[in-house]
Amino acid sequence: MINFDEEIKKFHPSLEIDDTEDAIYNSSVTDMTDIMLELMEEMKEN
Amino acid sequence: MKCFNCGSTLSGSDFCSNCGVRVTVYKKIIRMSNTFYNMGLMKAQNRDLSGAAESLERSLRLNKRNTKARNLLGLVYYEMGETVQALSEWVISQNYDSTNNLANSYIKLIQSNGNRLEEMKRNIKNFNTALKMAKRGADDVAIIQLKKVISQNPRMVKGRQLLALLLMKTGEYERARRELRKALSVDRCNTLSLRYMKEVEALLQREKKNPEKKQKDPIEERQALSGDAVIVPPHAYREPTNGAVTILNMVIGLLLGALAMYFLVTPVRVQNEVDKNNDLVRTYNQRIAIKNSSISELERQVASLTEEKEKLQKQADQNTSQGKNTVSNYENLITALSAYADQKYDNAADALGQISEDVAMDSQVFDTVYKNLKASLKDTMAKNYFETGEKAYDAGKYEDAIAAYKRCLETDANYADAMYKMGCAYYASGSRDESTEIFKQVVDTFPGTQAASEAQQFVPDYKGGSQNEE
Repeated sequence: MINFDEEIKKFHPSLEIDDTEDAIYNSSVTDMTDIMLELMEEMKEN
Repeated sequence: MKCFNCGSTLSGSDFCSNCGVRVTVYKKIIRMSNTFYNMGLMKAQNRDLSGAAESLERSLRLNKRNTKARNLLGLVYYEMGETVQALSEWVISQNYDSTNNLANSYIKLIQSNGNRLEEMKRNIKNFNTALKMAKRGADDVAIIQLKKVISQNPRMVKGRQLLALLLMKTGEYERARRELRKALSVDRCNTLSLRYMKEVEALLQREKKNPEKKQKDPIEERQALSGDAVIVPPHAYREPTNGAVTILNMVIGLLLGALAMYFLVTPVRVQNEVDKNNDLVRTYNQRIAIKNSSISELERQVASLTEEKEKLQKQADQNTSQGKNTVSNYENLITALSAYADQKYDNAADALGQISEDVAMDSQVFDTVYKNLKASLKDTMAKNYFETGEKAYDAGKYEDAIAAYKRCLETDANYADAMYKMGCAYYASGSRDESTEIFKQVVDTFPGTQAASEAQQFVPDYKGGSQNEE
């Protein structure tokens, strides 16, 4: 059985076009390579 | 594959040939990213957009510089109706690699059509408004808004899912199923769509089994209306969803329109045309009448002018003959004068004798000259006339002789012989009465002359008057 209230909570407003810039800035740009480099830096320091 | 440290191209070894850094793990990460990209590509080709998005996101989590994965993710988002997310991915991709990047053309495509961009903005706003309404409990308003959104952006999966949810809540399972089907046609393996579809089919099955007991609210009971709830009164009209019905309605509408044109508009236009034509006919008739009267008037003028012309023609002919006679008289006069000047009196008398005294010369000069010449040539002319008469008498042409003698007497009334001979001519021609009269006249006018005594012989009993007694 579907719970309407629960289901409706899963829907989020779509980003507006004017908010594209913020969306880009706030997007996570860290990937595995960055993590690997961080680890290598830490290892070097240690 | 480029080295993460120095950017040089890597070879098959575990170390960078340029900077010497160990690249084993790095290469594994890159390979795994590419693997996820391939998975994402395959899912996208199979229309499993949500699955593709997940794989591509994983690929990017491993290697954020995987441009292909990012571009494809943008496409997947765009196809699902998430324009802003698509644009974000493409902008980021362009940032990482601006040369020969497909993302450049995708961004240009969207930005080039300003109207389309505005439409997308409006659509997104409408969806957010609809979601807000749905969360507040204004289901009908939300449904209306969502229908508008979907009509503008038919591939918006999220919009269709929300609409299907609301339709399920209001008990319109069949319509909800239709929306979910459409959502699944865009994103085939979307878990949310599949779940809703399973639910709606179960509800429909239940409804079929128990048609009387309609399931009022399988989704939880509606909550009581709050103070600021918007109530939209339902209306009976439902838009026909079937295309055939729409086409039929259009055809009926066209037919009705055609009939209205035929029965309402066309007679009026026809009448207007008829009136216009009648006015034209009237105008032309008036013109014709005017022309006819002009023609009659002209015909009258022609007739009168013809008559006048004939009159003038006659007059001209008369004048011509008169002119000819006038010219002849002048010529004879000139000839007579010329002969008189040459002392050829007989010729002059002949010419003068040919002048016709019946012709009106209308010239005082002519008359004066003629009279003077005539007076001068009187004897000669009289003599000439007499001799002409004699010749005619001798030839037995008594009438000509009489005419000549008369002219002689006109020229010279005292020419006794001429009178006598005229009497003889009358006598010879059988006109006794005339001859008797003339003989009596000779006796009376010229008594004691030879002519009188010869005339007396014809009238022996006549004693004569005492007028000219010598």
